[in-house]
Amino acid sequence: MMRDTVGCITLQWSGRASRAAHRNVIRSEKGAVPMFDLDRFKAECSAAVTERAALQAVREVVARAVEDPRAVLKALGEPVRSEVHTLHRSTDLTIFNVIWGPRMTVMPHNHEMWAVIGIYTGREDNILWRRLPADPNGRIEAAGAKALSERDALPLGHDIIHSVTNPIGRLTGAIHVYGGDFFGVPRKEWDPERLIEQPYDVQKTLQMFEESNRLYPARS
Amino acid sequence: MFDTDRFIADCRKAGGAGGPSGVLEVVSAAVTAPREILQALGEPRRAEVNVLYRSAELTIFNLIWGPQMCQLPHDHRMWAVIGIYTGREDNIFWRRPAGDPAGRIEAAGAKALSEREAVPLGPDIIHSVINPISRLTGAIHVYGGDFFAATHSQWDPERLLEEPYDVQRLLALFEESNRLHASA
Repeated sequence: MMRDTVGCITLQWSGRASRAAHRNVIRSEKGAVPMFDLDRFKAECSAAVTERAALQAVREVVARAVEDPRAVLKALGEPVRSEVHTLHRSTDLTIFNVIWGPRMTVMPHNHEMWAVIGIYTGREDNILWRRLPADPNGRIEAAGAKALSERDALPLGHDIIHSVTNPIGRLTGAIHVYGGDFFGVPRKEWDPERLIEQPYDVQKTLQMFEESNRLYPARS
Repeated sequence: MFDTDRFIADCRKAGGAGGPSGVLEVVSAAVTAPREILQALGEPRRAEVNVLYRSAELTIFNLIWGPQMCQLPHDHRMWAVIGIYTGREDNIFWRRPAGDPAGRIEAAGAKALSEREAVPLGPDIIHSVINPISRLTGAIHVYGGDFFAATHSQWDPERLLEEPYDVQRLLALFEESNRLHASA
């Protein structure tokens, strides 16, 4: 874990993913049509975020990317451990490469900004939550669910509260795009036992990834 | 005080007379006093399925979910009642989209269960279960039939394709949870 110059938390990059992510152009066998290219992907997301229907525009960019999951794997690297890579961070856009550990669950939380989730390997089960009306502890109840598989891209509105489970026995790789500076905006999480609202604790979330790595050591 | 023999007798009587609604009343009443259940059944120590009662008409489990354990989608083909006496269960409900030849399912809803809560599940329900907390969860599961004798389906959690229910695979998940968390 590192801290950047403005005192915000920066997520650690693995060397392997970093090298893979910085390849400039990954081309198809014909050599003419670029496949998934991280810099181009970031540029397309940055352009899409300026559109009036930004969420839908970014969803289209993410959906196009995960249409070819092998190309994303080539560019970002095969997942080897549970972790979060920050691929891009600005005031209006954050992009993560999220690697969920086997059968890992992250507590309910909100983003206070819209988001798009695209799966390039594995699965995510999302439970969507809503606030109980007038509950003094900000308690929530389950309101729905969405299963995501490889090649799926899901937009999440600004007010969404969700928890995420990787329901399979291997690592899941997902691109998460947020319509703002993920680390610059205070948000909430809910204690998974009592379902009571509390401030989001990024360290706690990152510890969950490390706990998963301890339970399921990296397999390269 | 919660008495396991009396609880079983009450479930048998209620199941015969009123089906799931009668059993829901019995289970709901039991889990309103979770400490009594803990005293009677013991503090959970490991992930496991204890069969408290089994007949052609009724099966009762004391089910202990491992920390953050995640069970694949499956059906029961009989009604069921779930009551939580310690911890949490997150249930995701699934449906079969019309016309899918592979029996693929899609998520249709969710229900979070906490200590002292009980819910009935209809015979057609397909659900997966997550223990979302980092400690053991204890639940009483009552089924309106012989759980082990009935034919069930499960769905591969990656492809969401239907396959025959494999009780050994289910039990292996409990043992995997014990193996992982024993070293914690």
